[in-house]
Amino acid sequence: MQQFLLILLNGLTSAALFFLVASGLTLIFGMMRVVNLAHGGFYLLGGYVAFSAGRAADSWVLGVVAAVVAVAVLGLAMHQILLRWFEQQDMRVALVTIGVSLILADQLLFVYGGRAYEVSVPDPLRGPVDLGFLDLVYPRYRFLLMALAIVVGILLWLLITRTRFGMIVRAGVDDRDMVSATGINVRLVFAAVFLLGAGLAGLAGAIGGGVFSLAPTTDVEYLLYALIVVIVGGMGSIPGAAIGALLVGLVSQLALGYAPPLASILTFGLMIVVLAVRPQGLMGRPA
Amino acid sequence: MTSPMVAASSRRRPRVTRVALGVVLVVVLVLFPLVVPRPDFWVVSIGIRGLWLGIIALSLTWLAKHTGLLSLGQLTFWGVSAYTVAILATTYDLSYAVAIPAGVLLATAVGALVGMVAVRTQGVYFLMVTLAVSQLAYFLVLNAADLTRGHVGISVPRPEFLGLSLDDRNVFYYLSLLVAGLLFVTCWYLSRTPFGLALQGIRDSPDRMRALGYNVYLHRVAAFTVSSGIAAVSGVLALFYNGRVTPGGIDLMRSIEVLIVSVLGGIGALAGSFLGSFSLTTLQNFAQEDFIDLRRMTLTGLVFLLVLLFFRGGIVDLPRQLRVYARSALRLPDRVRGRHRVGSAPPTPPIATEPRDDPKGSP
Repeated sequence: MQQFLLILLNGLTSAALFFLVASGLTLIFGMMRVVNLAHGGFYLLGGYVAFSAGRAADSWVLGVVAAVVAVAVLGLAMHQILLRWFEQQDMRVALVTIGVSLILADQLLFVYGGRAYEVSVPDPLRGPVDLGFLDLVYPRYRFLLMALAIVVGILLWLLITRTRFGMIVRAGVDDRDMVSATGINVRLVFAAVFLLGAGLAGLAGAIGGGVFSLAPTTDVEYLLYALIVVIVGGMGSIPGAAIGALLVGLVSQLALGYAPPLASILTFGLMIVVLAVRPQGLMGRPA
Repeated sequence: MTSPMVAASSRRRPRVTRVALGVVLVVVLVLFPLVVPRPDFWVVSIGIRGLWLGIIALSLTWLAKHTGLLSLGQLTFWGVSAYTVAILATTYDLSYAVAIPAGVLLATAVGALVGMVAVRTQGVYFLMVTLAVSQLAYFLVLNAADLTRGHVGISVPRPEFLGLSLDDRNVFYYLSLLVAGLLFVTCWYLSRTPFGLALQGIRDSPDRMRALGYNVYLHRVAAFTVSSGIAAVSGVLALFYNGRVTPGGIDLMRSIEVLIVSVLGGIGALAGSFLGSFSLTTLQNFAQEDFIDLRRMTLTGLVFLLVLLFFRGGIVDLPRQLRVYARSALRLPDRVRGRHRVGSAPPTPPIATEPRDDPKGSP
């Protein structure tokens, strides 16, 4: 029982991190039909920046802020310099982001080498929490990660459903040309969405780097999980990303706990089942 | 509504020129190992590697050209066949005469299964699903260490046949060339069969083909299966080229490399896959040999971006693209005055496409 609960908590931790990564991916896709395959690279860059800046400034908070800003700016630059020219050609845009991810991963490997890093978290945030039953003890930082994911999720949901900005984004998903025709500067909105989405990847890297190590293949790993999450949940849907992250996080951790060799198969199996039954994802709308 | 890709390639050059180009290319490829200096480098690192890489790129180019589906998962079938052959030949001591056909058949069967799920999606979704499948294969191979020996991989001896050994680089080269040539002709022929034509019809307008009574889904699955079979053959060649197969051979970087080869060569024509594979292999080798002061993957990424941004038809489309650029450069003063956007490229064949049906146009 105790082991099961621990695995469950691990699953929720993973789910929280997957949600943070996937929310940025799904946000960008939903608004612009851009599949940012450099998203995993953004995650890794965020982690590394948080590590380096945090160490240089001797402040965890500054490190996290630096990571969010750096990755958001990089994302914006990528969008403005490389992607903006062929907005309607989603395939070509996806390929360009592959090229960017390749260069980014190689340069990060060059700078940071093959070693695994972990972002050092200040003492008050670390340390165990005694849950008070079944002798369960779990790291406080992981609870904070879950709380952060919930807060980010609620904020994003409020942003999308309750603000003027969100209204424009939702309208843009449905019919970009009409939104543009009503006098709204869609380009500016696009840029803001890209900034936000990339910033979320940076945030996820900075926070996730405190729990799981950062190494040269981390980018691929998180890109993959984020893709599975949004494919399962439905591309472009924030609630879908939340549900997808929960499913993927729980399935992967439960499988790791009880049937390690099957872990990857079950995670991918989940995606394949969803695709076979509901190709647009659980919360997605038919294309 | 014909595809601009196909129209562009057949309109571009008269038939005689194309045949002449083809003959010259074949002669060059046949004479290649006999004339180059440093054969260990040129024949092995460029020639043979370029050929098997070209074959797997061919599987991707053929699929993309005829169905519009751009896959990141071709290495899955490459890996299945390589691992099957290696496992059957070492663990089960079967002869290559049994192991090789078994490997290719199994990989093709796996391709059919994957295709049944994957072709339900299109465009970027298809790209993502095939990417996920290729990663699944990677993790499976890593986890099933009893069978695949995990990270270490499986080493195999090179086969001998008819008194010839694949340890001889020229024998290996000519065998690869023969296989590549046969597959190329098969692909070219398939394009002209009713099956190939139906595929192109489906690519351009699935709804109309459905209305004509074609089973769109089955055609796509069949195309995916054919392409996985071609990738499987490449896997066998690569297995003997490397002398072993490891999970590193099918990781994401490799999958992306195959995609880059296809895009670099050009999706518009089958020959693009080999042009792309030889160009990329040469480029990467020079990056390693410090002729170009850039890291190998960074250089690969930069070249890929360059092609995507400015030469989207790839190498096969290069002459036409350059002519277009030259023409617009000559007209530059007018265009500036006429307030046209100078930076925007003229319409050229797309790399790969969503189905061209207008979703808003159908009721």
